[in-house]
Amino acid sequence: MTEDAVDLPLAAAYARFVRRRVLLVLALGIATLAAFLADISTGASVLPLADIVHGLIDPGHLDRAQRVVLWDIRLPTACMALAVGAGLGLAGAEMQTVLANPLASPFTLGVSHAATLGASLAIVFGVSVPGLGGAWAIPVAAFAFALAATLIVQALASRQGAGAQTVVLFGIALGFAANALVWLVQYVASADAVQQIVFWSMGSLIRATWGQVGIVATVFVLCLPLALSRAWSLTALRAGEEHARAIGIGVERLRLATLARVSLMAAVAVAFVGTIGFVGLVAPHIARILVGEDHRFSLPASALAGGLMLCLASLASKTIAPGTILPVGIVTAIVGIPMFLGLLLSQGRAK
Amino acid sequence: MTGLRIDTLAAAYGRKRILDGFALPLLAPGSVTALLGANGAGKSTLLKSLAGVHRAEGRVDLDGTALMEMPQCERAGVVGYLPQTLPSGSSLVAYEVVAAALRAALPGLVGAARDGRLEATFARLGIADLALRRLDSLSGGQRQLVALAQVLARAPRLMLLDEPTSALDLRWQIFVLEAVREAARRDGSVALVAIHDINLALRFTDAVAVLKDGKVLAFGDSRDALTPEILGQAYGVAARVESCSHGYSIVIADRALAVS
Repeated sequence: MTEDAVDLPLAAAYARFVRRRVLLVLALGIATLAAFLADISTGASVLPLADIVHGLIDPGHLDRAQRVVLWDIRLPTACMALAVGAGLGLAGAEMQTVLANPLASPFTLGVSHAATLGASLAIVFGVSVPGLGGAWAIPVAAFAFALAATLIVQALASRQGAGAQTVVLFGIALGFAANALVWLVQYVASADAVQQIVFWSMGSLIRATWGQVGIVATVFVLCLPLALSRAWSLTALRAGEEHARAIGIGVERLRLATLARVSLMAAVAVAFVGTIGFVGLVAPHIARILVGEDHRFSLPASALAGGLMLCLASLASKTIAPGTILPVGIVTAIVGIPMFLGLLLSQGRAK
Repeated sequence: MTGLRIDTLAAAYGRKRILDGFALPLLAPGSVTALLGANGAGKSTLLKSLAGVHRAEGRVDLDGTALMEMPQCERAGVVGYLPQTLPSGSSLVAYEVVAAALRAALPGLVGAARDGRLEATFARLGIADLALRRLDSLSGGQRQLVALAQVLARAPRLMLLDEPTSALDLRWQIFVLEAVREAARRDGSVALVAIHDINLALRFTDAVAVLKDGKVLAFGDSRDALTPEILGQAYGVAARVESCSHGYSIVIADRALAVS
């Protein structure tokens, strides 16, 4: 190490630079864990943090009611917040890079709107999925529509000559179309169904079950290593598409593979919790402000920032109006925007 | 055979043909050739076609291998391309840009060998102090030097530089062209440099190729390839070509010719 420092001062300086980023990612991880613990220790019934930690390790320590509160209500919700936030954060980060657009997110590509359309149709027509319980009809329909939207955008993206800008514009148009159809469905639906649709589209974590958490978490755990394996290519892409092509990166293939992966991730996430905007857009920006654009760090940091945001939002949804749990989609923006503005402003000062 | 020879090259933007039957005689290893010509003459398209960034077809021979048939991942190992600009809105640091390019283009170069190459390139271009600066905090000229570093670090057989001096002041313009010439001489590689400043080109390159409408209008030694007629045809100007006391040609443009 000391020998390196003598021969290669730049490499040594860069290694120090990288270590600082690793520490920042770790700090973000600790903050996320803290938010997660705060989330599960907050709720209608009083359950001290010490009991919760003990109950996590040894469920037998808690009495029956406490066990139900912790293991059947708070933990699935909190884990869902973490998994969905992380999935949306990672999806947004990759989308912003491959589409070379800082405004890209699962929202931009119409994924969220299409999911809402699927969910609306399932609610209005009372569809049930054979072999699965009635509770699965809405997520399955939402997922199917989100994936269909993705396939349409994919078909366009794979066409020769469709650049990143075209894909983004097409996604926005698709989102508007899906939105219009949702309104059409609402227009003809019963008042009861309309209320259900509106509630669904606000995004809610309290419907989460362990089975659903498992699905979202599995998809995330499968997608993260795939994303990290392309981290250097994604980093190079940030220095310009032509440049990336010239150094031998198959930009089209990278873009298609990435969009396919993140669309799956986003579709699964929104299918179970409804429309949660903002996280997919802002978490990548928070990560970039903290650790820059080396994707080895910005990808995990985006996932952590997303998880952190949604855990805090979940926490706030229980505490803003005592006695009620607000839909998390509403709270996300309320909690996230001050945090984001603060970071942007502090960055402006640093410059 | 070593060096670059373009027998024929064709490229189009949509239906518009930019290069059609483009040909250039053998460019020797260690030589620097300036590409001159008006806007839209095909300089950038030629560079992008050779770099594999723009779709093109043709017969191009680089050191005895058919360049246009080479898969892009292989071509990236022997060809270095400097785009007109690096993005100004990126928070990547300079060191990462160059390191990422080295990793992608030369996957075989690892560990201390790669670190050493990075070190030497930043030192040679005098930009070691920029290594940990973010691109969005650099000036246009500094970004151009970082872009050049990512080409030079790879020691490619063919350097394709699209206006590497456009954002630089006089001293840095000369510095960059000297660095390119030194790299070409040292590695025995071929450099093609698109450039707007004719006198800079005549002074610091070995040969010039004047392009017009996707074809070579004139090609030859930098000392005597240009004539008033050629400048008139290429740029639409009335110009004189004079000889300075050191034997270099100097171009003085007097007025724009009426559009015919």
